[in-house]
Amino acid sequence: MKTFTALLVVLMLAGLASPVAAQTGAAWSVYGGDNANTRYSTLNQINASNVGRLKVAWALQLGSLRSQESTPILVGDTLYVTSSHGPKNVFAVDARTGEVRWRYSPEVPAGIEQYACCDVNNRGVAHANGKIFLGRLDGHLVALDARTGKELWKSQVIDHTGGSVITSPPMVVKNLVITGFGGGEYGVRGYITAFDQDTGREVWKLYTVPAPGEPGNETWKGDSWKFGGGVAWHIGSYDPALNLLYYGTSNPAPWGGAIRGNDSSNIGPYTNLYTASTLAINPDTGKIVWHFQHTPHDVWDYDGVNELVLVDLDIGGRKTPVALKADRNGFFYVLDRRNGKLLSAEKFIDLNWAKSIDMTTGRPVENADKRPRLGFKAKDICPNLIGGKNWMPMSYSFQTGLVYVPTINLCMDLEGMQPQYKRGGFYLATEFDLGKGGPGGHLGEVMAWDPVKQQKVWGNKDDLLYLGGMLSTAGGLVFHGDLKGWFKALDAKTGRALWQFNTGSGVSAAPMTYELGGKQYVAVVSGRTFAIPAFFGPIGEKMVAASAEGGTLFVFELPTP
Amino acid sequence: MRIRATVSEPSAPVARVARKDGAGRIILCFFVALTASAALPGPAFPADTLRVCADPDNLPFSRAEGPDRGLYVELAELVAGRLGLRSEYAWFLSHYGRRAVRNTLLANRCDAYFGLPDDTEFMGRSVIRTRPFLDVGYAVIGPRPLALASLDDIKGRRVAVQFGTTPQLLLATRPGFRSVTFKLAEEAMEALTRGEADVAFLWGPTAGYFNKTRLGGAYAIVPIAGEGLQWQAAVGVRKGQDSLKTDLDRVLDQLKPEINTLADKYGFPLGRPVNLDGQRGMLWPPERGVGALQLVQLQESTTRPTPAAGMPTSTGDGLVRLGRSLFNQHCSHCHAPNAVSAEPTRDLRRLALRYGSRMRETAYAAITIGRVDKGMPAWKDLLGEEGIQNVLGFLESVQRQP
Repeated sequence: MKTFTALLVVLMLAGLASPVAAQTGAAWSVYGGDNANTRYSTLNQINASNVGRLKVAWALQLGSLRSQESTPILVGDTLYVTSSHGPKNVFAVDARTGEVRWRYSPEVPAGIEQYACCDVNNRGVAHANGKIFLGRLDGHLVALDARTGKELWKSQVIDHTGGSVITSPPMVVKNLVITGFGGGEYGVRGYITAFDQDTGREVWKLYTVPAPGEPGNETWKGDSWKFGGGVAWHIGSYDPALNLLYYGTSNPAPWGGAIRGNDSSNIGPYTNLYTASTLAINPDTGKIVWHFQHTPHDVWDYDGVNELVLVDLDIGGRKTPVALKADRNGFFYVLDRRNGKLLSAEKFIDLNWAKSIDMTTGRPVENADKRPRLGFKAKDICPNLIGGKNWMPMSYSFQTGLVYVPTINLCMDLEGMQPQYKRGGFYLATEFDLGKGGPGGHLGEVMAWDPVKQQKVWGNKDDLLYLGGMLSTAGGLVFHGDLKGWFKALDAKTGRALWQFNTGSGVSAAPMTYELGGKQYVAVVSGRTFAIPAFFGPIGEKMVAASAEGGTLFVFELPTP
Repeated sequence: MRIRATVSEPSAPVARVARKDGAGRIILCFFVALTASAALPGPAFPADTLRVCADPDNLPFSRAEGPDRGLYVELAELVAGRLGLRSEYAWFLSHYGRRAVRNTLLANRCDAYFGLPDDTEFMGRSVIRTRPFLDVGYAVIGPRPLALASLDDIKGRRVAVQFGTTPQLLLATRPGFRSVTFKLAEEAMEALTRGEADVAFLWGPTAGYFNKTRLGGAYAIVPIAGEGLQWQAAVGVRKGQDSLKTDLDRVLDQLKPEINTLADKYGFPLGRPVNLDGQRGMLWPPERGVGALQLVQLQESTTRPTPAAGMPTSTGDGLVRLGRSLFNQHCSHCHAPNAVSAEPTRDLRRLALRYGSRMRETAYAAITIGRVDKGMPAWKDLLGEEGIQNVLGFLESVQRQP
C-alpha cells in the first residue's frame, strides 16, 4: 500500500512537471539524477517523520584515499561508482547488498598526481545502451561493458602530460558521448569532443576559444587565443525538447589579463570569449547556438563551469524554461535556456568584486579596485578564487521550488598574475593570501535559495568550507555532507538537521537515492579533499584537521519494521 | 656496513667517522645532524648517502636516465663525491613547482634540492638555502650576428615566446612588439629554424641546450636582464639541516670551476646580460666566450611580483628600482642580493646604524674610490655618477631602523 502511494505521488509529480524539466524516481541513471541536473528525487519513503531512524545498509571500500567526488548511478539493480586516483577503481555492485559484480582498475600512468592540477578526483560515470562511459585522469575516454566491466574502446581526448585531465562524467546524448577536460591554465585551447558511443570515433570537436576568422576571435589580444583556456571540466546538461546541450567553461589563460586584453575594468573588445561562459550547443553539429559570458576578461579564476540546472519557472506570470547557475563569481543567474537571455542575476554570497549585473548587457558592474592587474595587488577580493560555489552540485526541489546550494565564504588578495611556473623554468615564490575568511566569520553555508525571487530562504552557516553536494527528495528532505565527515538530512523547508551520521572522512561528493525492491536507499561517497587545502594557509590547515583521508561508499536504509 | 643516523641532539656537531667499505678503502662519511625540528616522519636513511631531489626528465637540469644527466645531477654527483657520500635520488616531475618540493624535500624523501630560488620567501621557513651557485634567466636567441643593445632592437620583428612566461607578458605590455606564442620553448626554437619567427625570447637554459645539442650552436644567445628575467639558483635543504647546508656551501665554493664547465657543456647562455632598456651601468659589448660563467647579473626579488619593467611607477620608486638593479648586478657578489646579507660586516642595511647622518657621504666615498685594503674595488668608472646616486638611493631605502 505504501509503495502504491509512493508510486502514485511519483506519477502525479511526474505529470505536473513539464516534459523537459526532468526529475528522477526509482532510478538514478545519470550523475545529476537527470540530464537537467536537478538532483531531485520523487522518492518519499524516507521522509521527515522517519529519517531519524536511517542506518547504514552496507558500505564499500573504494580502494583509494583522498578527494572522493563521485556520485554513483543506478542502472537496473546495479550501482556503478568510481574511486579517486585515475580512477583507481570503477565498481559495479549489487545495489541491495554492495556485493561486487565487477571491478575495473585501469593502468594509471605512473606519477599521475604530478600532472593533475587540482587533485586526482573523479566524479563518476555515464551509462547508455549497455555501456558505461568513463573519463580518466590520463585524458582518455573509455567505454566499458556494463555487464562485465570489459573495456570496449578507448579514445584519447587530450594529452594529460600537458596538465589536462578528465575528472567529470561525460554526457550521453543520442548516439554520442560528449566530454570536456580540466586544467585550462596550462597552455591549452579548450574544447568539447563528441564520440560515437559504439566505436569511440570522434564525431565533432568544438573549440571553446574561436580561431581567427571565427566570430569571437576579436575578443583576444594578439595570438593569445592559442592557449586561451576556457575548458569545460564539469558536468553538462541536456534539454531534449530544445535539443540543446549546455556546458560551462573555465577561466581564460593565462591568469594575468595583460596578455589577453586591456587588463582593466575597461575591458574594451577583449572579453575573451567563450571563457567563463555558459554555452548552448547543438549536439547534432557541435556548433554553439548561444552563449552567455558571466565574467568577461576574468582575472580572478572565476571559472564558469558550475552545473546548469534546467527547470521551468514562473517568471512574471509566464512559465519559462530556464537554466539556473550559481556561478563561482558569486552571482546566481537565471537564463532563458532557449536563447540565453538574462532574466535575473543576484548575489548569493557577500561579494565585492562587482556591484551588480547590468541587466541590459549582462555584464558585471565591476569595482575597479577589486580587479587585480599587473603591478596592482587587489586586496580582500570576495569571493576568492574557489568561488561562491565550487563544483559541488546544488539541487532543485520540485516540492519546495527552492535550490539548495553549498556556498563558500572566502576572500583573497591577488595581483595580476606573473608568469606561472614552467617545468625547466624557475621556481617562483609568488605567494598571495588566497584564503582569507569572508565577512561574518563562517567559511561555508548551506543555503536554500528562491530562484524566482532571487533571495535566500534559510541558511546553515558552517565554520568550515567545502560543504558537499546536495540531494533533495519528495520526502521533504535535503541531504549533504561536510568536511568533518558528517552526512546530514535537513528539513527542506527550514534547514533544521533531522539526522546525521559521521562517515569518518570529509564528504564533498553529492549524494543520490534510489529504490529497489520497494525500498528506498540513500548513497553517498566519503573521502576528504586533499589538494585544495594547500592553497589556503591556516584555513587549509583547519580543513586538513577536520577529518582524515578516506574512500568509502555508504548506503543507508530505514530499518525493516 | 651501514651507519645510521642516530644523532638527535639539536645542533649536534657533524660527526665524521672512518669506515671501511668493501674495497678496503677508507672513506669519510658523516652523520647528517638531525635537529629536533627537522625530525620529520620518514624512514631512517643511511648516513653515508646524499639524498638528492630531482626531476627525472628536465634537461639541461636533470634526467634520471640517459647519457646526459643534466647540470644538477652531475653537480650533485660531484658534491656527494667531495663529501665522501653515495648519492641517491628521489625523482619527482616538477609540473607544479611547490608540489614537487612538498612531495620530496619536505616529505623527507631527500635532503638536497638543487636549483631552488635564492629567496627567503620561497616555501616559507620550511626551506633553507645554500649560497647561490648558478644564474639562470631569459635570453634572446637569433641568427648571428645578433647585435642587441636593448629590447627595442627586436621591435617589429616576429618574436617567438613561450606561453605563460615573462617574455610573453613583457612583449604584450609594450607597444610595437609582435609575439608568436608557443606552448613549449623547444617548439619556439623549431619555429625559429623554420623561419616562422625572426628571433626568440625564451628561457635561456632550455634554448641554450636546444641550440647546442640540436642546432650545433648555430644561433647567438644574449641573456636579458630586468624584472622577472634573471634569478639565482641555490640548493634547498629542510629547515634545521644547517650542518648539511654548511657542508654544501663549502663544497659548492670549491666546485666553482666545475660548475662553469658544466654550464658550458649544457649550453647555458654565457656572458653578461643586456638590460631590457639598455640602462646605464651595463658592460657593453657583452663579454662573450669567457670561460667562467658570469655570476649574478641581476637578482630581483621574486617574493612580491613587482611591476614589470616599463610599467608606470612613481619616479622616486623607479630610481630606487634602478639602483637596486645596479646593486644586484655589481655589488651582490659580496653584499648579497637586495642587500639582504647574513654576514654582518658586509650587511649594507646597517650603514645608517653605523654612520648615522654621515651614511651617504661615507658610502659615496667607499663606492667611488673603493676600500682596496678590504677588497672593495672602486666603482666610479663602471657605475658613473648617476649610477652611484641610484645605488645610494636604493641603499637608503633598505636601511634598518635604530
